[in-house]
Amino acid sequence: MKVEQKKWTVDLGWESVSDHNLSNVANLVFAFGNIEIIKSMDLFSELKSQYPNADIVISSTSGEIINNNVHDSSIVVSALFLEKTQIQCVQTNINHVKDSFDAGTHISADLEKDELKGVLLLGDAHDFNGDHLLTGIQINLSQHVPIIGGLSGGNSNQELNSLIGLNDKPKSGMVVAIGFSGDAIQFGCGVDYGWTPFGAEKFINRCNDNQLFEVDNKSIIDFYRQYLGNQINLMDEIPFYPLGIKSSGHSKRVIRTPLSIDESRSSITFTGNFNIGDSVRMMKTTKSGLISAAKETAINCKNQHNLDIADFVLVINCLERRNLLKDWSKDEIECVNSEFGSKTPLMGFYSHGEICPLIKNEKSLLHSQSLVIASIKEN
Amino acid sequence: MEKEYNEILQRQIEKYTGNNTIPDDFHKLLKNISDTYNDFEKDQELIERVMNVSSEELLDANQELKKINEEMDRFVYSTSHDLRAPLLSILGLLNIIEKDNKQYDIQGYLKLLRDSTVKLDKFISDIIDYSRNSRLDVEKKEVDIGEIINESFKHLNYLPGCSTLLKLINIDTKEKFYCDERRLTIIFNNLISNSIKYQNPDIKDSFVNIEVSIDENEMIVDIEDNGVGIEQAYLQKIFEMFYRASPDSKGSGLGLYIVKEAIQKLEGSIAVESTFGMGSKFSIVIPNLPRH
Repeated sequence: MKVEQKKWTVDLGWESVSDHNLSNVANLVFAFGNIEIIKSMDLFSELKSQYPNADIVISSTSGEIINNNVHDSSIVVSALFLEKTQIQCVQTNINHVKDSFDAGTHISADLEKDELKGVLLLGDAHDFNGDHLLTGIQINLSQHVPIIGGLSGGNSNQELNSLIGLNDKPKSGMVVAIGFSGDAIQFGCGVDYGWTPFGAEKFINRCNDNQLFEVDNKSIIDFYRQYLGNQINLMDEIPFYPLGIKSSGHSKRVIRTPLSIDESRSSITFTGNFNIGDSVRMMKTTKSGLISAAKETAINCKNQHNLDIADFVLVINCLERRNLLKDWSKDEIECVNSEFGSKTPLMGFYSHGEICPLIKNEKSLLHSQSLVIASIKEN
Repeated sequence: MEKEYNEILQRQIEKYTGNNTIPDDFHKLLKNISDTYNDFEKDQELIERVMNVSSEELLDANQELKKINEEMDRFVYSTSHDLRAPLLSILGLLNIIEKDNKQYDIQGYLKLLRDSTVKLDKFISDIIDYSRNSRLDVEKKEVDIGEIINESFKHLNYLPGCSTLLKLINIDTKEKFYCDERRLTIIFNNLISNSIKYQNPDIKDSFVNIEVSIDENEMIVDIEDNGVGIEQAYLQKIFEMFYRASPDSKGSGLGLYIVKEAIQKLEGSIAVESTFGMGSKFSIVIPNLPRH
């Protein structure tokens, strides 16, 4: 497997990051970029002319990641040439299906499942319920096949669509899945948060999908007020205090970040779904906690390839982490990059929901506030 | 510019740099350190507040457990005592019957056996009601109060004095009533059976008067009788578990306790007025649950 990378910035236009003459042989191209820039140029035609034989996947981001850099108004591109692996790209639009679950079942039905070793998934955070989308895909897919990816959105939690395209101009309401099949391909993946729970364990009494009403028979808004204090503007603070939920029988927590408050219904809407009876604690973190978690994730991911070095690393990083780390976000990415070595091409984007199995060989889950790493190696 | 630093850091800077000016290059570093100080202070406040909240919650939970434990202790003690009493009298009667002495009135013994068994059965079903009430969630549906009251009387018809008691029932329904039917049945069964059981034997025109009024917010019920009444001294205690107001009380001592617990589950209230020898009046308010 070979990978070459390039990037586009306002000041310098296109620049090559690494070049292996893959123009004619590249069979998969990822391009992540700022939504305004993607809108203003015909990125698809540009890439198609550079890589005429490749499947081209474009996604807008809330920040681009390439090797050890974080950008805001750029386009980052990786062209992959997989010599021994079959690649399948499938897509669906929310407007052509009933709902997120239905979109998932369409994606799953379109994927040839023999020898399938892993799926990369990119979806519009605004139009899809990530949990329902995953459930739809998983209904017809072995849980040993990892689904790794993320939901892209705007630069804030305001309701902004993303633009995603597969072999076409990017559009909103899209979900794209890339399946990798064959014996040669090897996937490593990992997810970690660096968040620690505090306060007593509570139980969820009333919820509806990603809307939470009550924990321990008390309004979720009162719960936040009681913990964070009455004087604050709740909406300013709660994104920094997500909930860590644990379903019965699971040992690890999954994070749900508050998106909006509805005072009239006494509810808070979160990044992912809840189930009645799940146990829940409030979470907090520090900058160093986030960065060391990123390092742990990278080490864990790297170790899945034994002593081999991965050919390509994809990073899906939650936008909220960037808001928390501020000028330390580059350090987080540098940490990940240095674990894989500077020669391993790495790219990624800031997201509004991350997808990865929490434990190897278990079902993929929707996360938030997390850093997901997928490493690919062709033997 | 330096004023924007965290207070402690500001003091440290003043203490250790004296009057020397700090080179501009250092402000970015100091700002970063200041942010870290602020974050730590905020974190500490948060943890302290949450520790207080959690400690109070723990205390409450502990108190609740203590109450439950005490109730459980009393429950086990009284239950085993009360369950044994009718069994012992059944055993005694069986001994006499086994002697097969024709002189004795077998039919009479059988009646006594039946009474003891009925008492035992009533006691066990009270325990079941108690356990159901504490275990089950409130199950909301539209209920017909008239039907529940009629069923109660039908169900209690076997009690001596039920047929001769004058029953006055007046139901004023302005709105449909949504509530938990099973708990309402428990409440009415117990209160009505008390009016039947504790009639004043000295008067002829014993009555029970049930007034119900329902609007969109609540149901108000008054159940009044001219029975034996309750002595003022006992009035506060009748809702306690296993409390019997008089030694010749016929019940399990659970009835009014279950009524109170069931009303609590429905978030309603109950009050009692009584004049010893003249009669009692129980007044209940139960909220009309929202339809959706």
